[in-house]
Amino acid sequence: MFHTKRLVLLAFLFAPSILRASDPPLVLGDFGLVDHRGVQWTLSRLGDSKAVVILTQANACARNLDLLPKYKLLRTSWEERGIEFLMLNSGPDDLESVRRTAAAYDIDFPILLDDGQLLVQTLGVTYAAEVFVIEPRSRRLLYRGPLTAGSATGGPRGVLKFESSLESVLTRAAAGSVDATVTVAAGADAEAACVVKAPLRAVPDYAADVAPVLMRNCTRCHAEGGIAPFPMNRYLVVRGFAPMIREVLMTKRMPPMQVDPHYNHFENASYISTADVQTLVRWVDAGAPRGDATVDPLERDVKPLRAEWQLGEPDYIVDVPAFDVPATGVIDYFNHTIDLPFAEDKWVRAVQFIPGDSRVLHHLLAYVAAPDTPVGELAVSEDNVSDFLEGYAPGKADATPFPEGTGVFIAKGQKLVMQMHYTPIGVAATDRTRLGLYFHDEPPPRKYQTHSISHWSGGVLEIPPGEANHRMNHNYLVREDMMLYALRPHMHYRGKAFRFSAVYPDQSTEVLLNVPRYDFKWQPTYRLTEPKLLQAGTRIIIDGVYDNSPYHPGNPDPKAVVTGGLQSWDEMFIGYITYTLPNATDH
Amino acid sequence: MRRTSLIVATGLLGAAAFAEPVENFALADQHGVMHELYALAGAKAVVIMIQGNGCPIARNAWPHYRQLRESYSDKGVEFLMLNANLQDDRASVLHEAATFAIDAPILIDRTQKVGESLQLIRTAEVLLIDPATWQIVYRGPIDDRLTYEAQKPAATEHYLRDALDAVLAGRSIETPRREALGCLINFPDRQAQQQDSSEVPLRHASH
Repeated sequence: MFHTKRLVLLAFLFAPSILRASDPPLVLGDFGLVDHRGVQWTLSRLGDSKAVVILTQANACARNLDLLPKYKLLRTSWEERGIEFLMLNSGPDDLESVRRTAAAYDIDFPILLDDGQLLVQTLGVTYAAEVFVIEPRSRRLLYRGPLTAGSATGGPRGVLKFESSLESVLTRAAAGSVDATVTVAAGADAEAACVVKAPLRAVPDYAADVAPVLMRNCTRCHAEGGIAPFPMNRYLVVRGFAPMIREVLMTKRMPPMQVDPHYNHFENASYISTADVQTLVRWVDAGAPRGDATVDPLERDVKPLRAEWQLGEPDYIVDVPAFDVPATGVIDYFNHTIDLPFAEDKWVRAVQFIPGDSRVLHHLLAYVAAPDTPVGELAVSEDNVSDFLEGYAPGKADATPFPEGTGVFIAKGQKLVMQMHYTPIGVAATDRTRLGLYFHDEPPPRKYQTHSISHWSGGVLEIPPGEANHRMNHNYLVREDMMLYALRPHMHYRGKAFRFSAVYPDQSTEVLLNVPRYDFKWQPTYRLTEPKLLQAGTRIIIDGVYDNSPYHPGNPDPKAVVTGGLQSWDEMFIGYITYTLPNATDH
Repeated sequence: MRRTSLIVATGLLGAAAFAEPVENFALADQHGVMHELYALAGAKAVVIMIQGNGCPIARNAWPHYRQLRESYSDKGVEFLMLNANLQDDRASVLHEAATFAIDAPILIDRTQKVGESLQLIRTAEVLLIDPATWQIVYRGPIDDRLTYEAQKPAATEHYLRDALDAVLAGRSIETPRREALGCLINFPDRQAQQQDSSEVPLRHASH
């Protein structure tokens, strides 16, 4: 059947991301999705590939399975010529069923999960087994259509030659010649099981639907006085930033500190539900309408952030030395060493940070350090750090009480080391942060402590220039039963992904925390909503991936050989675990 | 064999090509002072940086734009800024300019018509215009220092500076267009236009 599709239709789909009329057509907005193995793929980071082929997939679609051998042959022919092959689940099917299907049929492609069908709708996928080809640097669409579209020439006396349109596009892409045109091949009718079930949804109402989503997920930072650069405190602001809202959701840049929701739950990670993302994207795509409600909920309810001591006046307040943040540039992490005047040992039961200027204080980490720690130094060794006290990350300026019956120990004479991370915002600012400490009256039964599982010094960590997927791995044997409370990945600018797993004494395994999109600028200590008891004999495994390519945003120098070191342009590979030892007879 | 059809599509909306001259416009800045583009005919070059309140990249780019102004304004280059944001108005732009010490004229494009005619996409883009032809001879980032939520300590590529040097020396610019990083500007009229011109919404053609 001959379908006439006008180019301008596809323009409609990509409306928020079109460059300009004179540019080559059909530029996609950037996007990031996590595959069925927990690995995130972001289009703009695939710049080393000449083209990205996306094969849409649905578990129930027989055509996918019929074509699977052809997909694999295609990959074999083309991956060495710089073509990346991904699948996009358009079912939508849930993770477990995708994994089962992949395992059963040996579908060994990364299968991107798109619960909200956001990429599916952006691309306008109509049926599984459709093929899209995208050039990742310009993000231009090069091809869409079935795998086997093409034309035959020759015969009956001469040789019948079939030329696949897809392979013509790949030939040009592999040769580095990016098409000024997009090849659209009309498909044959698809069987029912392959057709994308994308329900038509009513346009969300700004006051009833959209504002609550923003207040649930965004305004803890996007309010006056917060770390976010603009407050979401009235409709017009949100409407103006609507295309950005869509972009940061599609790339998973926002909300920050997202973790893979399939593995455990962390009380201070960011989780935004699929329904909430769909509400926002659908509303943006509909033109961000105001709706009929007279009252603007954002204007009514989003108040400037004002910090106060939530647990009452602290037992002791640390005044962090004032710091002048310049208007622009990069300020590397640095440490303040602060004397503590305590005449006796102390057990900390809760901590609260009140940032001076939360626009510039990106985060800070506080450690309890030995009395002889030199000023400005942090005793960082392979085996352990000075005891970790607590960290501050934006959006979480609440008081942190340590778990019931636990405390962090500060021996008489120990000092506090505070590692500060400031980010310039375009105008000079001075920060005077305060740290409030609350003490136990009596020593608590358990010591709340942090250990670093660490493997970066002594020449083991070395990332070649331009390498996009450098892997590091380490493990730690738990020698006595441990109650695990929190996990913190630590890498520097090139860190891309991090995972903590456990192998239990019975050889069963579990992913403890998967961070598919590690971001050096956001480093919370992720606190388990339900602490886990790890028996002696459990091995904790850490896996990290680094990206030293030019396509990794903020890479200080893709031409450098990157080695382990303290500066942020060096790298580190550390997994911090925070725990108590329930069976310890003394602290 | 099933017959399939191939449609090779070219161009997008068939609108103004890149090489066409910028049409004249006049806009008031944040202080109410009127600026007319073609009145700058005597300048050697005109640079317009696209400003937007609350955009970290635009905010972080401003000090470097100001540095270039310090180097090049006595060479006959005019430095302006333009705000085409829906959500910004003269009052809020004045406030942002005061907070961030922006002392360049920021032309306020309330109707977004100038922004549309300049085919803007993001804030923090700079447009370098040659008054001899009124053509945009460079558009893109100032340099390679800034990206989303991150910045490098120093730029390694100085796109605008190199383009200015080329224009002043009468040379052509090697890469006249680069993708700008910054905050997407919402142009609802443009979005609606593109939607209206579609025939069959492709995403609903599945049944």
